[in-house]
Amino acid sequence: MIGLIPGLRKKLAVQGFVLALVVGAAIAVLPLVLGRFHTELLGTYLTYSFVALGLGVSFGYCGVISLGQFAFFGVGAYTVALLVTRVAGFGLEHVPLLVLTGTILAGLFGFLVAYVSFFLKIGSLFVLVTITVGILLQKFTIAQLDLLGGINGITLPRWIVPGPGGGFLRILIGILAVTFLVLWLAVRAPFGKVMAGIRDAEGRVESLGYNTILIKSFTFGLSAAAAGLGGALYAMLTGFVSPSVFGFVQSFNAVIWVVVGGLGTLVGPLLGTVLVNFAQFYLSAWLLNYWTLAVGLLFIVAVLFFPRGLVGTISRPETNRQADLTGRSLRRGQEKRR
Amino acid sequence: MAERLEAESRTGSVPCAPGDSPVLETRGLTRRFGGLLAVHDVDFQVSEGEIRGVIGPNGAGKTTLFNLITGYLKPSSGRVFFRGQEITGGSPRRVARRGIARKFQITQVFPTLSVLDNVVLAAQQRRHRSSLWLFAPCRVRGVAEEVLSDVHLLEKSRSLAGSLSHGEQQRLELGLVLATGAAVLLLDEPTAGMSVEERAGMAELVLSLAEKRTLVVTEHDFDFIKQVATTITVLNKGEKLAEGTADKIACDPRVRECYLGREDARDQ
Repeated sequence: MIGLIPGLRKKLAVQGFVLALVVGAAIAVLPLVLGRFHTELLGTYLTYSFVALGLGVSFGYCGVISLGQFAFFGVGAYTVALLVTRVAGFGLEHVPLLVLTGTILAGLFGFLVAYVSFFLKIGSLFVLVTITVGILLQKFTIAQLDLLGGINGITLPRWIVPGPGGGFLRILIGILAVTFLVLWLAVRAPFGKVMAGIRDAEGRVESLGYNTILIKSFTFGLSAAAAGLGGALYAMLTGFVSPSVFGFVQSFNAVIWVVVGGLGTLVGPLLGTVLVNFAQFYLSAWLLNYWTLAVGLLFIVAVLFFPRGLVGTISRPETNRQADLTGRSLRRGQEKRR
Repeated sequence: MAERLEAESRTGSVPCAPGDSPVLETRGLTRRFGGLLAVHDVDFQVSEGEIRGVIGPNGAGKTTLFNLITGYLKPSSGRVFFRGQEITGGSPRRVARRGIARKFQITQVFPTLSVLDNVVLAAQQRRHRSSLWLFAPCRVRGVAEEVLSDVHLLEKSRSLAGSLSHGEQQRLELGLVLATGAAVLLLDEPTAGMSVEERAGMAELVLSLAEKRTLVVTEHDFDFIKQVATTITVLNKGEKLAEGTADKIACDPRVRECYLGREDARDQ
């Protein structure tokens, strides 16, 4: 059907990007219409969306599912918190460096976890590894009272926490846009095709000569770095980190955000995070104890009736992206893992 | 590159003479599964530019032989050589990088990618030494389109690979191995699941490809093998039973007994 009108495919291919711009603009405009409290919420949710973006690439494009992305979020957050409180001599001018360090550490850690797991041919049990990593980090942090602040967490110094007002939020959106662009380019590059190939048939990709272990690990490292970036920014935004940032419940939620938003796209995770979190916020006020039930139902409805997620349902997918990506990636991921 | 040119300068098949070094060789290749000898002491040489057929009944060890050569299985004993260099026990990835590409019996294309992207994926591996330097856009599109036109799938280049018919997917699979630029192609039952017309087309295709490459084809369909292969190796119960031209094989009573007799009955 797409082939009927020449040029239509090109228009629809652009549509994904246009959608991204629209969403981005909407997010940028939101702080102007929302009150201060909601703007802070938005900021928090935007830091979560880094995690979702990474997961969107790792799961949606490469087929590597992770139920522990917030472990890397926590690594990023704690790196910044620890550096700022335990090491003297950092000032505002070092903030980019601090954030970068958190990002890189999280990325390296993710890469190592993935590489060791895939090298040992863990296969589909990798998802358990991801869950475990989050739990282990959380327990370890709680246990280390002196070194890591234990259950009390770490409060960041005043100077690093941005004041009220949209300034930091704009920076946040800017960083998010850059991250989005970087991931988008990665997905468009030849590397992206290999990722998609791995999602479909990893054995076949390997038989073509690719080092799939390295590629999957690198992709996972990339998604971990994105999560770490979110965590580092979160630490600054809220001024406080505690072991709950490694929260594996949040890691489960991240999958919901990605799937509801649109698995296999980049805009989807972004949209899903913001929408689901706000929905959660209002639902919890309205439904009191039953809001978790509502979120669970939302997930079920999304998977059953909107498998392409919000974004996938709204925009026609490009020919070489997905037709039935969610089902495909979930099924194939189970079949083809060795 | 130099090896490709050398292969191109030889036309037709060259019977293996002593002193001629084969492009692909196994010596005493054996693979045991517990008590079962799936492949037993197989000596197998393929010359450059040849089209070799490998036939045998189910369980003869054809696919196991391919698995051993391409690194999916480690041999219990014996060795495998490619262009004189030992590749025994190498990983599938390494074997592929050396220049041996395998088309699998069960089609494994990438269903959510377009036909063109499938081939691009196979082709772009050539351009990049390391698997990670894949961020630079690479100009393999032309190569991919050429391959697609070779396997008569150029019109479908924008379709999703998952939407192709079975026969088309087989051709796409063929396209994938072609795009890797490998000098030696192992085709595992390329006509599996194909109709009679499709088989004829496949035979033509295989013959056209062989001009610049070495092919080893396993098959159940003896008529197909007769059309494409110059020399045929017959395997039975993991051992090499016979080897020779199609006519010689057809007349060999041992082969008749173990294989062709059954095949004739099945073909009707």
